[in-house]
This record gives sequence, C-alpha cells and structure tokens, in this order.
Amino acid sequence: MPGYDRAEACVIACAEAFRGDGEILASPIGLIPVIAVRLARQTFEPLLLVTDGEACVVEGTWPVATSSASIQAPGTPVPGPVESWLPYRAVLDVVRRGDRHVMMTPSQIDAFGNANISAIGNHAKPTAQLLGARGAPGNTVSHSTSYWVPRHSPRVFVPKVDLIAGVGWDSAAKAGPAATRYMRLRRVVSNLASFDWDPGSRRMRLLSVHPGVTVDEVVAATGFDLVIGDEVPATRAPTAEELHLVREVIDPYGARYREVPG
Amino acid sequence: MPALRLDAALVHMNQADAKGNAQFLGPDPYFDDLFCAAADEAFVSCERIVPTRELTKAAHPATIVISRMLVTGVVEAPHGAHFTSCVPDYGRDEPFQRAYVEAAGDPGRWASFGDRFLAGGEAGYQRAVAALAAGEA
Repeated sequence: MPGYDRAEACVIACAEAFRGDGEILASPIGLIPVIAVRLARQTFEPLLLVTDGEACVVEGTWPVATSSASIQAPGTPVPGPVESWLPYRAVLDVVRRGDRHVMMTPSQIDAFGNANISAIGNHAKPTAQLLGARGAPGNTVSHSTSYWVPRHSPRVFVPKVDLIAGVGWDSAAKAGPAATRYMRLRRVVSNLASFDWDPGSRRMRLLSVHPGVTVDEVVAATGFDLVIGDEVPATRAPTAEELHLVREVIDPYGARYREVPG
Repeated sequence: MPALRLDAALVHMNQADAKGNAQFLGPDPYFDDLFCAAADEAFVSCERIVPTRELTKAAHPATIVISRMLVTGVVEAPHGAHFTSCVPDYGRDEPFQRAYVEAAGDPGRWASFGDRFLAGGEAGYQRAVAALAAGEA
C-alpha cells in the first residue's frame, strides 16, 4: 500500500501537466483537473491564473465541494479576493494570445492526439450527440492542451476518432503553419497512466503508470499502439503536504471518488 | 473566415430604458452588445424597463453596453431568459432543464411537455414554469 489511492495519483498526474506553465490562465474541466490545478497553484506553480468558473480571476485555494452532497456550482462566491475581471469575450482574447492551458475530457482520442468531444458514430446520424466541438479546435491550435480520461478503455483510446474536435499533430500538419505554429499538446492523464507525445513520430507515448497498474493493462485498454520505452516509471507520489491539501483543504468530502473510485 | 451578416439579433438584458439603452448587472456581458452591433435590426428584451436616470443609480455606466442607436425595439419581459440565467435576477433553472431533456428523448412525453409548457404563449409558459418550481420546492 503506497499510502494514497488511485484518485490521488490522478490528481498528482494532472497537476504535473501544469508544471512550468508560470503566469497563464489554467482552464481545468472536470473534478480531478480542478483539484489538480488548485493543488499546483498552491504548491509548485504559484503564478497560475484560476477563475471562479464564471467571469473573475480569483486568488486563494478553496474546496470543490462544501458538503458530501454538493459540488460547488460555477460562480459560487469563493473565499479568495478577485484579482481581475475575465468575461467570456476576454477569454477568447487570451486564447488568441496563447496564454492558456486547457485540460478537456475527450470521448475519443487517437495516437496523434485528435480528440472527439462532439458526436459518436456517423456524423449524418450520430448514435450519441455530445457537447459539440465547442472551443476545442481553437484551443488546440492556439495554446497548451491536455486531456483527462477518467475511464481508460479501447472505446476512448481509439485508432480513429469519429469527428476531430481537438486537433491532433497529424491533422495540424496537413492544415499547415496556421494550425501548427502555436500548437502544444502536452499531456494525457487517465485513471491508469500518464502520456505525452514522442517528439519524432508524434505518436502518444506512455510516460508513467499509476501505482498498482501494469504496462500490460495500459496496452490492453488502448486501441492503438503506444510508444513505450524500456523502463516505464511509476507516476510521482504525492508529498505529505500535497496529500494534506487534497484531503483536508481542496477536496475534504471526497468528490474526487465520483470520477475515480478510491 | 468572413463575418456573418445577421438579419436580426434578439438579446435579453437585466435593465433597459424605453429608448433601448440596455444594461447587464450580472458577472458577464457575454456577447449581446456584439450581436446587436452586427445585426441589421436588434430587439432587446429585459427584466425591467426603468427611467434612464435609474440605470446609473447603483451601477457603473460601463454596464450599459448597448446603446439605443443599435436597437430597433425594446420590450419588458420578466423572466425572459428562462431557462437560462439572468444573474442577479435569477439563475439557471436546472429542474426545468432536466424535465426538458427527459421529455425530448420520448415522443409521448414530449407531447405532454408541449401541452404543459408551450401551448399557452408567454404568460402560460411563465405560469407553468412557476408551478413546476413551486412543486419542486
């Protein structure tokens, strides 16, 4: 027993995606990414900008839920002071400047990082209508993008996505310099492992496995061939301070277990 | 990509005066002023039509993001942004959204949803929404 669980390993792996970002807007989507960004800012990335989920950039580190029943709704007043106003229109300007790192959850992702959040099946008559492409195309070609997959399976890690919403390396190369110039696909974190992209082949590369997970399990749950080195390390363990912050300050009611069972 | 030419814009604001100067009082103006400026005709609905002087009584002039020169018509339509939000007047109506989603997936239930909420015009809609909220409370 490592003294921490899978959900906490995922928090650390997601936080690590933001290491080195400095003074940019962090836009985590999903519970564990939100916990991870608050943790990263409280510890090793103090310059990150974080919003209240509505239109204000706020200081401080506050819980994702205030009871075991509730997940704090976007825009709920937060304890930290407002440091700037960032309405929707200003976020679009930040995207164009490139000073942003978004972490989104794809319904499908392929080896080159093409990601689908829009619809499953034939586009003319999808079997499931999802969010729509939303900001994914502009995000992926304008600033840092990472992905969070709470349930790693061959249905998510697919050979070919049904619709490209988030632009992958190969699609960007086909589109030319306008797409490739500012593109920065950073990390994929799943409930099993962490990934980045091999700089040569631009294919997804296994970076680390979470405690209790084998490389074979990751391979079996992935619908394409990963780039895998000779030695695959374990995902970095949380420090005592990080565990305290996650368990007592940021997620005291265990909302993280709704995404990844403990 | 070339800009879209809008025939008309329909936007909902917290307050306006009778001339069409319109104001947001929530956290985010979204893009309503841009829609009005981009459209041949723009129609503003609002929670309250107030005298012009009232607009800046408790709010900064920068909250009046729509000028009457952009506006073709203005109408007072309380709760007119339902089922989305018009903060601080009201938030999003999530129970109604759930009822809509459940009905939209089932033709039989969609018919009764239509009878309940959509058959009686604006006033009938707002009465049915209020009744749903009272039942949920």
